[in-house]
Amino acid sequence: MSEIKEQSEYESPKIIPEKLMGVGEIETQAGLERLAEERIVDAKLLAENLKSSGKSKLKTLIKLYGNILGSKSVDISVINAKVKLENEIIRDLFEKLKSKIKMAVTIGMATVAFSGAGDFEKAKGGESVTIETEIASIENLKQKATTEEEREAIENYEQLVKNAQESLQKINNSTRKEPDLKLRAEKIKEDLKKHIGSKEYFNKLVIEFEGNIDWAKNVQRDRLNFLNNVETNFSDKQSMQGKYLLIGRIPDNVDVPIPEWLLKIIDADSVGGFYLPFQHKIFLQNQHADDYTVQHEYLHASTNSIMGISEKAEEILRNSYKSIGEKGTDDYLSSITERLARKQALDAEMEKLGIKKYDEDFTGEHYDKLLEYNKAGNLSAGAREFIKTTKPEFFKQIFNEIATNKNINSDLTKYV
Amino acid sequence: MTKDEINKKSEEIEKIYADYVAEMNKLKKEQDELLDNFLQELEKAKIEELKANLK
Repeated sequence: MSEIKEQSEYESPKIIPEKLMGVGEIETQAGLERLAEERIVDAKLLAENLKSSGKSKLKTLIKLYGNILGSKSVDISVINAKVKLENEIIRDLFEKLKSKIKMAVTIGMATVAFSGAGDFEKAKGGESVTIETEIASIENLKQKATTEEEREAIENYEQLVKNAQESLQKINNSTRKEPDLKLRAEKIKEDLKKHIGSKEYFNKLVIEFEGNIDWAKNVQRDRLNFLNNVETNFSDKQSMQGKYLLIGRIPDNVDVPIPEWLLKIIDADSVGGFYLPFQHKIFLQNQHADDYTVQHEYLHASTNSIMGISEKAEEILRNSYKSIGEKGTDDYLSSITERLARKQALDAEMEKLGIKKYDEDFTGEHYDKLLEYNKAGNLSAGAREFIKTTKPEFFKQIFNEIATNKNINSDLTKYV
Repeated sequence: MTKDEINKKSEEIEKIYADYVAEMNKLKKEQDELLDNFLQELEKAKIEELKANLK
């Protein structure tokens, strides 16, 4: 027993960021950036240590009790699945930390880099603010500087904006459409349209909308229209991150460049795609949007986020949510659009794995089978999240009464 | 950003990190418990096997 109890709780990070400064003593943006980077490195170290300690302990146990594991009395797949699941939670926590830190730092810096809150207000009023006008205004400012200190500050800021300009040019030059992704996205959209237009889908809509055939017809038509009209944009990593990080923080009509020095603290692989309901636009990252990401975003688009979801579906999805006790994660996973997208993906995953056909009624047997697959670790992360956050007594109602859009492929990827 | 804003951001980062460490400690306890339980299961199976062999 002692072999697996040797590790104590994690202590404070071994790498102390800004050792000579500390909170309250960091005075520069560079210092803040360094703090962010170091905290991310510390966090990664903790995550890797915890993952590897779990694995190595399990390995030791397997080595010590190998003969027992061959017998029927101990099922190794259960512990394997649990350790795997825990490792995913660790990874998710780390990803969230990264994203929170990046958000905290990037937004502050991007705002400064762009030109400050006053200009955002100006832009909201319809006056166009560009990097070029900002550089011109810096020239005027230079003339007004009265001290060496002021002049230096202005020059530093000018450099910052020029870097941003250079970064924007690079982004514009490197943004390209990936033919393969474009074709795949088109195919996925077409498949979804066929599915939404099907009789089976319509029948389920009728149930969802309490037998009201006209209502179901309208919803079916609306969802097809949403898919027909959604604008799909293909972006490169840098552009993608910049857009995603600044959603809701800047006016829609202002294109904000993210300078290189900000981008370097951003893990450019972390966002594969996102959907903006008010603009009805999908953004897919050329290098990182796999089929599941593409489908996930089109699923959001098909209901125009929450606008195309029935009250009944909303109520069922809301009431069936089982909290995992972590506020930030609960806020995200309990949102109706995220629940619906995961439910839809699980519906299709069941079909793909041969658990249940789309037009088949969901039964207790299907549920048991689903749990078996889950226990064995054979479901995608999205599907597992849905199972984990759904009260068991609601499964039949969810899968029999809410119309859904079937999946095409369901490889795990990152999406929002 | 002003010095004050930078301070606020650094505090925000430290808070995010402290919450993360707390979560990791919680997971660590869960991991220990999980593997301890598994070990007990293995030990129990081993004893059963020995008993069976003795018979």
